[in-house]
Amino acid sequence: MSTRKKLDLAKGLVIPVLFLSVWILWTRSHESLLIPSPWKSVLATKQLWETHALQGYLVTSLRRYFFGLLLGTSLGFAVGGLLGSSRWLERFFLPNLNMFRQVPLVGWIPLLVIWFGMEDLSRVVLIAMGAFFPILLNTHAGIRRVPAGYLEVGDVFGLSRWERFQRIVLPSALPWIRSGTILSLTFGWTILVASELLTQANGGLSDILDVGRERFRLDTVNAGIIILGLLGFAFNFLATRLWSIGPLRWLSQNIHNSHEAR
Amino acid sequence: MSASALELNASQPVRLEANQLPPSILLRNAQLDKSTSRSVETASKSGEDEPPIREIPAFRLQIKSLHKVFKGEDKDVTALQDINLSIRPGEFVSLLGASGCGKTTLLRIIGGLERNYTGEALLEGKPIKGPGRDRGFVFQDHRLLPWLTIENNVGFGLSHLPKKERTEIVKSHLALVGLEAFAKSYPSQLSGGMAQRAAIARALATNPEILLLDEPLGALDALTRLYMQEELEKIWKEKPGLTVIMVTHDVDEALYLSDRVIVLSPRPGRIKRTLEIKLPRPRPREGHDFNQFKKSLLEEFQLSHKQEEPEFTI
Repeated sequence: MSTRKKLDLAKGLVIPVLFLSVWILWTRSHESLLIPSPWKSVLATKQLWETHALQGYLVTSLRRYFFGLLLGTSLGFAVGGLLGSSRWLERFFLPNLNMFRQVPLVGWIPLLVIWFGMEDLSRVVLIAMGAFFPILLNTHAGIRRVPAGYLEVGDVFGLSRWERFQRIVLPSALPWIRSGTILSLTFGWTILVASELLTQANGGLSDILDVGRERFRLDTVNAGIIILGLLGFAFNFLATRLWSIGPLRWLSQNIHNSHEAR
Repeated sequence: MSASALELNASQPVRLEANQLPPSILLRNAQLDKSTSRSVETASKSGEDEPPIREIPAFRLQIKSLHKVFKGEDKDVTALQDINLSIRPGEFVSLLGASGCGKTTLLRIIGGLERNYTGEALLEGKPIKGPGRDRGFVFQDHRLLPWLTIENNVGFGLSHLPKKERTEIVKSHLALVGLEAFAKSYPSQLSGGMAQRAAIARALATNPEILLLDEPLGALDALTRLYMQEELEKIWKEKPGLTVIMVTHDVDEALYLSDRVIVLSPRPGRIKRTLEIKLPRPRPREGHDFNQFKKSLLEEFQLSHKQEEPEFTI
């Protein structure tokens, strides 16, 4: 790591370190039920792990998240790809999808519960709906914004329609698709917690928050928040990494920026 | 321009003077344009008092009475008017003109990228129906695909070949443009001149008969340009029989590289003059002969010292 990068990383750490120091110093003299010390949260996490409660929560939540994401992103990618490739389909569907999108996701919960019950299926569908739109809109935009010059390169070499899509349109849209997947990932994680808080004792990570709140153990609540945050961060990091290996290396070379969503 | 003049023009067989070696030029439309300046007369002189004439063998490319109109919302714009032009195998031809003279449109028609014109554009005697692997096209911006390495960009038009053959062709073309060391690099890691060399390699990899260059050096700095002109000449020499048609607005560049310079004038785009450059290669960029040609070309743009008298004074 270069000195410059180390310095940048250090700058990013200044605020967390300050925050933690203030928290520790404050709780030394003013420890209360409302603001427990950070150590207690660490201990609470350790306890959750040792009693195997955390592992169970993790498996349940990740399963919901995984299936929801898989359903939402694959559908979103397919629909976005179709609407990007066909003006005709776009005119039929895009305005309606945009209208549909304006309903806040949480507003669907009662309907989903009636249709699918207070089961994992409702949660998976809700997460899928959350992951669906970011990838759809980004895939669509990416395909629409393929530079005309690249398409002309395809013309010069006499590519067929399918070859053109596969060899020019799709790769050219990849920066957008990457942004779409990362947004879907983040949004899906939020929706997961929202869908879990729907019912108590659902077996997922939000149970940590629920149990902590009921017993007025804010150290447990804090532990839950930290675990959710770290996992969300890890997924984001992982996705960014996955999008820059092997033949996708070019995506992270800070080029092609002109067509990337900001 | 009257219809009869056009018919006359179209019906004339393509001819040239027998004593000219290599056989020369076939531009008739300059004669039609009597309204333009004295330089046109000099151009048409060679056609006027013709010694014995013989029919020319097959041309690689023939353009006959070509008109191209771009339909606008409120008015149509004539981009090209009555273009007649024939190009021999192995010839290096420049289309020279100011912006808006239709030189790029003409090149795109030859490349099959523009359609909806009247007149004929014949490649080896057959009408051009669209792009094809027999013509390589290099754009002003290199248009290398950023998601492919240089070797994969160069091999872009070779996907129909087995892998082994493809690898060999790519290798030899990377060597031709001196980019062997950058096979695994991405376009973003190349300088402007290198990227344009890779684009030329990509266009040549399909082994086209004609290489079409649309201001290929226009985006490069002055020194890189000079170097690239030499590279272009070298590449052209290494591909025997390769016909090159290059669009440029750089008089020196056209003179340095071309067997024949075709000057187009704008609005509507017409061929104003054709100049055979019979100078030995590699050409010095200075010297009496070079400067004579340059002067006569610059006169076409009214940029030389011999400017015409203004029509009025204040």
